[in-house]
Amino acid sequence: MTNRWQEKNVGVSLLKGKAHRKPVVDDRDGTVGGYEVEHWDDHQDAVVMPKSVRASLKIREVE
Amino acid sequence: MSSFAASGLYVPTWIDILDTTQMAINLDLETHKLALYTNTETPDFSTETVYSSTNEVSDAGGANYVAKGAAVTTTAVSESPTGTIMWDAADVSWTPVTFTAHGGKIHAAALTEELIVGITFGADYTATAGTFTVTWNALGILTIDCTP
Repeated sequence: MTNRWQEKNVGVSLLKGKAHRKPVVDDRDGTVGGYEVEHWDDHQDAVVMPKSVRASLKIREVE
Repeated sequence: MSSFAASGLYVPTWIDILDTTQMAINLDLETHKLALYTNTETPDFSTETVYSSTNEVSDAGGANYVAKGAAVTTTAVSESPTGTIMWDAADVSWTPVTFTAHGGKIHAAALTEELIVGITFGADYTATAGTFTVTWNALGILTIDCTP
């Protein structure tokens, strides 16, 4: 919460309601796997977009 | 290098599905749960059998993340693309929560919490008094490629 003095402060009023989205990089391959959102009031959201887990049966005929 | 570094299927569970045990893992159920873990967790896909709270995240800001995780709902098993079995579901989220997670495990909560699949996030993700969302890939949570 901000008080009346803070509301008059240009820095605070510019930040209020703002959010900054930060990509999160996969440690293994450097791809972006999701993001975190920093909000002006210090709360932060996280959104993970994990890779699909792929199983392959490797079907083939063998002699 | 992270500990929760890879995704995989839990072999003991999948053996029980296929052998004389005939474990009834129905992926269309709405009761399977996604539990989240810190990077301290090292999944062992050959030996782990059921859910464990060891290294599970806890909500530092309250109780909006409950042990054993949240239900995976709107589940669907289909053929997509041709020759591939795809398991998909609605995204899962918790709010407001404060924790850092590096991976998740889906377990059969309606049975005896058998582990189905473990999913690494590839990095630490932190929510602070905010929403933590797992958005499943367009290819689904899990695909089994049955094509030669």
